[in-house]
Amino acid sequence: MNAKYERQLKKGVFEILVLKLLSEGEKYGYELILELKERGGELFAVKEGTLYPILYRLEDDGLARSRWSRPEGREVSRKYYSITPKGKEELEELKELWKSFEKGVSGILEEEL
Amino acid sequence: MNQENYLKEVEKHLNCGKARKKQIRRELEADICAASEQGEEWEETRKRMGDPAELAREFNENMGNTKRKMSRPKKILLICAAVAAVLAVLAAVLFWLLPKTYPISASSIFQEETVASEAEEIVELLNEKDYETLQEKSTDQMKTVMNEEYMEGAKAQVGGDWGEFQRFTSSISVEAVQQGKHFAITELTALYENRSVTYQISFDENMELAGIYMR
Repeated sequence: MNAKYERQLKKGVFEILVLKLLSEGEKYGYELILELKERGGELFAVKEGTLYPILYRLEDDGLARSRWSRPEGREVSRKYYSITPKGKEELEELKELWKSFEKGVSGILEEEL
Repeated sequence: MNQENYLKEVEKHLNCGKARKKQIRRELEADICAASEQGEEWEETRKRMGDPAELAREFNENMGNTKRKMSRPKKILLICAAVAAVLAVLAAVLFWLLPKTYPISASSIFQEETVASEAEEIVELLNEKDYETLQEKSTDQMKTVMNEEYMEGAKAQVGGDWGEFQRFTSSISVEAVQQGKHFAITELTALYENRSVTYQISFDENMELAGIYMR
């Protein structure tokens, strides 16, 4: 499969997935990478170069916020991302959008005209 | 490649503002630490993250840098080309402004013998202080200085009592072009009783006296 097309398809949904994960609680970058892979499988393995730009965009749009904090007993501080109220709203709308989208796409793809 | 160098490489290839670069670097550092806390060795992490330039490229792609920053060598080349272009224009202007000289024998405007003899005539008129005739032979601009007061002053500047004129000892003529105008210039050395004086006499295209220097 052409990697470019796969990337394009993924590009649309990762924002939603990241928002969903953040809605469950504060998380840091590496944690999100691990979780996506764990819960979605290899298909959802994402690299830093993809994840962080998403997080930056969410932050710029006010859907997420971040803070640096040094957890107990750790050497290095981590940057924790969390969802904002605006982000929660957006997530609900995106979930609805996804449902319609999924239905529509499957519908067209399965049609045998 | 150790962690420090790896991160430096990534930063180098990022196409974003300095603040963002620092932010990305800190996040990657934190990730690497988090990974090592989970038992992952740096070598493994490095392999997982991949080639630093690749990693940076992915960031760039996803941060929507549509105004793709030019690579450094290309930027340098472009600056050199721009400088070269400016220099070329300057050189052309200078070339046009500065006088260029050509042998008078090759001139299509001036006759070598005419120029040489006219130059001698000018010096002889100066020797005789015949400013009236000299005025007739001068361009309008020259007329303003071709008078006794000015020219005798100039002669005095050359210095000393020249003595009687003896003869001409050498004469060389060239054609000069400056700002599109053609001139004939003769360097004529005259021997006087007490010293030699070298004149540089210029004529315009109409063979009018356009300039005179003496030393």
